[in-house]
Amino acid sequence: MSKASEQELQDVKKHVRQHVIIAIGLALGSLTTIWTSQTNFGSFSLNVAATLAIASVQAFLVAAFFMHLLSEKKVIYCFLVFTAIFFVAVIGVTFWARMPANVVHYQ
Amino acid sequence: MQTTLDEHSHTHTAHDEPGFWQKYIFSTDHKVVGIQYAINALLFLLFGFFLMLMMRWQLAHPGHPIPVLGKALSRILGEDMASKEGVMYPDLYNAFGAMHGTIMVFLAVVPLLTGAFGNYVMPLQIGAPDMAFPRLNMMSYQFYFFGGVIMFASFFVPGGAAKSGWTSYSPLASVTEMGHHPNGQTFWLIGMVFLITSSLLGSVNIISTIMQLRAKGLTWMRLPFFVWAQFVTSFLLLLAFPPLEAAGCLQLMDNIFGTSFFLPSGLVVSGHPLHVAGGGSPLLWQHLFWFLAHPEVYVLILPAMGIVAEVVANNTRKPLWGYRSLVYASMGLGFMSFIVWAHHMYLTGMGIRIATFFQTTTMMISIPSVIILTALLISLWGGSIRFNTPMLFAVGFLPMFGIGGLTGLPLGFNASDLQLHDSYYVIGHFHYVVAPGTIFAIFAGIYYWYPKATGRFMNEFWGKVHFVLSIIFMNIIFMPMFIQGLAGMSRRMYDGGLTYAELPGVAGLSPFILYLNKVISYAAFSMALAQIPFIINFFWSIKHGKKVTSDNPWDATTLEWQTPTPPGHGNFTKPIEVFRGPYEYSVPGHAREFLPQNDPDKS
Amino acid sequence: MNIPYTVEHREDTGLYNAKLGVWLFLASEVMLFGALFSSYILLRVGADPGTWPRHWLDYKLGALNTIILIISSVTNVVAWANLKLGSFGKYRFYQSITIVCAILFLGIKSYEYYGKFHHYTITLKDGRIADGHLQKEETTKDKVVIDGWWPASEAALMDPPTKIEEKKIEIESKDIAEMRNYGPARNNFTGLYFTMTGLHVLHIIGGIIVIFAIWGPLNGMWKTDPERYTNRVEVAGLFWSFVDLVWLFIFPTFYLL
Repeated sequence: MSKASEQELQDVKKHVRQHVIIAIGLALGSLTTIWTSQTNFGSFSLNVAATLAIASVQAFLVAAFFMHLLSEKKVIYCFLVFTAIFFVAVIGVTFWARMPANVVHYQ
Repeated sequence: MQTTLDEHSHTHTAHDEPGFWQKYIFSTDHKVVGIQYAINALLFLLFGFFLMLMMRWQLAHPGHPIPVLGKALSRILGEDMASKEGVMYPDLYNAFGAMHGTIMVFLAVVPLLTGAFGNYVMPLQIGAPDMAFPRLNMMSYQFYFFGGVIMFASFFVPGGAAKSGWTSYSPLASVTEMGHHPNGQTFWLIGMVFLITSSLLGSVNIISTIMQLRAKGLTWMRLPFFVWAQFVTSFLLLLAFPPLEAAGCLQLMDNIFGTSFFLPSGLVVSGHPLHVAGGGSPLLWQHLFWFLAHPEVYVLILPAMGIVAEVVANNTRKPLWGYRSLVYASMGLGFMSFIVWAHHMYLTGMGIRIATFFQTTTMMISIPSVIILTALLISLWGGSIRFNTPMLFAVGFLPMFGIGGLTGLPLGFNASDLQLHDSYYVIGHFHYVVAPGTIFAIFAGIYYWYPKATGRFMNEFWGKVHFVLSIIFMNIIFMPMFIQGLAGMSRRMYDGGLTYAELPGVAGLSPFILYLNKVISYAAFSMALAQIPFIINFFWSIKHGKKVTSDNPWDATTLEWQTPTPPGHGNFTKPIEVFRGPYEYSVPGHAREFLPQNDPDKS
Repeated sequence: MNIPYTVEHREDTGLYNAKLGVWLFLASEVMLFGALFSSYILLRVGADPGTWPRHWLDYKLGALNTIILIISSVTNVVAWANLKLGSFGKYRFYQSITIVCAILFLGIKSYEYYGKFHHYTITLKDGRIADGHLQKEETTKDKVVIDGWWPASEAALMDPPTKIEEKKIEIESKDIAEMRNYGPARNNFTGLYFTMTGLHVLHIIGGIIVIFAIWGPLNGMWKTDPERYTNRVEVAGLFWSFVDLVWLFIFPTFYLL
C-alpha cells in the first residue's frame, strides 16, 4: 500500500488523540464507579443505578469510538441501539411482573 | 462488482483439481456442505424415528419384549436399560424420549432446513458464487458432525443417555445419574455446545451472504420468499441460541463443579439432603431454555414455509398472493417470537402479571402465522395447478399446519392450558406442526430440488405412493393424541397411562383411550414402512431416475434454475443481473408463460 | 472463484463481508453475556436477604485489570489506524503492547483465582467459624494453618469489613466440621463470578491467539494483500474492543456492587 498523504496522516493523528482522550475518560469512569458504589445515597438501588449508568456510558464510548460504530451506516447502529433498548425493556418487564408481596397465596 | 467465474479458470488445469478429501470431506463449496448436512441430518431423522418406534412398541404393549431388537438393546446398552428378554425399562424409555426430541429438533430438522436447504439453495437463488465465508461453512458442518457424535455416544456412557426430557429441566437434569461422571446429561450439554456453535457460524454466514452477495438488480423485494425465510430464521438462531448456551454452561457447572444455579435450598434427593450451597432457581433454567426454544419452533417452521412457497408458486404457474404480506409477516413473526416464551411455563406459578403479558403476546403472534398460511392458501386460487409429488407435499402441508396451528390456541390461553399442559394434546399439537408440517415441506423440497442437484427426477409414481401413505398415517398417528390429551393422559409415561386406567369406582383413562395407544403405534409402524419407497427412490434415482432435458425442468423463474445441472464450482457460467420479481408466471400480455428473474426479455 | 466484497465495501451496506460477519457474531455474544448478566440479576434479586455476599473481591486488583484492558483496547485501535496509514512498524509496536497487556490481565486473573481457591472458611465442631488464606507450608494432616480472622457468624462473612486484621490461626483437623473454599461451589455469587469471568477469560485467550497469529505467523499477507490484511486486523480489533466492553460491566457488577 502506498504511503498515505499528509492530510490522511493528520486525520489519523487526530483520531489517535481522540482515542487516547476517550481511554483516559474510560479509566476515570471506572475510578468513579468505585466511588458511586461505596458512597451512601440513601437507597442501595441508587448506587446500582449510578454505577451501571456510568458503565453504560463507558460501553457506549467503546462501541461508538473504539469500534467506530458511529462511522457505519445508520441502519447498522440503529439495530444495536434497538437491541439495547429491547434488553432493558425485557428486564423492566421482569421486574414489573414479579409477584407483589401483598398477594395472598391460596394453597 | 459481481464476478462469477474466475477469469483465469481455464488456465488452471491439473494442479487445481482437488483430491478426494478436499472435494468431499473438507470441501468449502456450499453445495457439498449442503449435501453433507442433508445426508447426516436424514440419517439422524431416521435414527430419531427409530427411537420413537421402540417407544411406541412399549406404549402399545407395555412390559412386552421388543421384537428382534429387544435382546440386542439389552446386550448393547446394559441390563439396567432393558431386561435380558428385551423389555424396555422406564429409564431407557425416558432416555429414548429425551433423545428423540433432541435429535429430531437439533440434529435432523434444523440442519436439514438451514444446513442442507439453506446452504445448497440460497446462494443459488441470490445469484452468488458461494457463501460469504466458505471455510466457516465447512467448520459449521464439522461442529454439527461432532455434536452429533457426542449425542450418539451419550447412549453408551454409564447411566445411559440424557433422560430428563429434551427440555432438561433442573433439578432433575442435575440429580439424575449424579453418581456417574460424566453422565448422559453432561454429554448432552457438551453436545449442545457444539451444535449451538455450528448453528451460530451458520447463521452468521447466511445473513452475511444474503446481505452482501445478492446479484446485481436483486433488491430485497425481489428475493424469493425462501430467501426471506432463511434470513429471518438465521436472526432467530443468532440471537436466541446464546441464552441456551449460557444456561448450558450454568447447568454444566451445576453438574460438574457442584454449583447450584438451578438448585434450590433444602433439596432432598432419595432421602438425603443435597450437599450444595442452594439458593438457585429452577425457574431460571426454564426461562433461559424457553427463551431459545420458543424462537426455535419458528426456526422449524419458517424455512418450511419458504420451501412450500417456492413449490406452490412454481406449480400454480402464478405469482404468490400477498408477497409483501408474507415478507412483513415473517419479520413480525421473527420479532414477536422473542416475547412469547413463557407460555410454556403457565403452570410454574410465576405470577398473574407475567402470565397475562405472555398470553397477550402469544395471541398476537398467531396473526402473522395466519397471514402467511392464508397467503399460501389464497395463492392456490385461480392457479393452473400441476399435482406433481413436490406439489402434493406442499399442498398437504397447508391443512396439516393449519391443524397444528389451531390446536395451539387452547395451549396459548392460560386457563385452558391448565388442563392441557404436559398432556398428549401438546404432543399432538406440536407434532402436527413439525411432522406432517415441516417434514412434508422437507419432502417437497427434496423432490423439487433433486433434479437440480442430480440431473434426474425422482420416480413420480413412488413419490405419490410415499405422499398418500404418509399423509394417511400421519393423521392416524397424531389425531388420536388430541383425544387422549383431552381425556387427561399425561405425556412421558412409560406405561402408556396404565397406572391411571379407569377402575370400577375410580375415574381414569378409559379402555378406549388406552386402546388408542395401539392404534397410534401401529400407524407409526406403518408410517415407517411407508418411508421405504422414499428411501429406495432417493438412492435409486441418482443413477436410474428419468433424466432432465433442460437445466430448468420445472420451468421455474428463480435463479437456482439458471445454473448448469448440477451447478459447478462458482455456480453461474455468466454474470447474473436480475430484472424482475421472483414469481413472474403467466404475466398478462407476455408471449412467454414464465419469465426467469435474470432474463432481460425486452419484449 | 472470487467471493465479492471480501475486501472492498458493498455500496448499499457500506461494509465488507468480514466486518458484517463479526458484528453479527458480536450481537450473539451480547445475547450470551446478556443472558448471564440477567441470570445474575434474577438470582441476586431473588436471594433471601443476607445470603448474597458483597466485597468478596479485591476491587483494587479489579480496577488495575480494568485499566490494563482499556490500555490494550486503545493500543489495538491505534495499531490498526497506523496500519491504515501504511506504517507496518508502528502497527507491530502498538499491537505488541496490546498482547502484553492481555497477558498481564491473565496473570492478575490467575493470581485472583488462586487466591479464591486457597481462601477457606472453616466451621469447627463447636460452631465457631474461622476464615482466611491457607498457609500451605505449615499445614499438615493434623492441623490446618490459615492467615485470617474469626467472624462472629456466617452473616458477618457475607459483607466482611474492609480492614481485617489477619492473624495466624492454627486449627486441629479433628476439630473441623467443614472446610469450604471460595471456589464456584461456595455459593451462587462465586459460581457466577467464576462462570462469567471464566467465559470472559476464554474470550481473552481466543482474542490473544487471533491477534497474535495475525501479528506474527500470518503477517505475510501484508506484502501480498495489504488491504485484506488491514481488514483482518480491524475485525480482530472489533472483537477485542467487545471483550473490553464486557469487562467494563463485569468489574462493577462483581467487584463493586
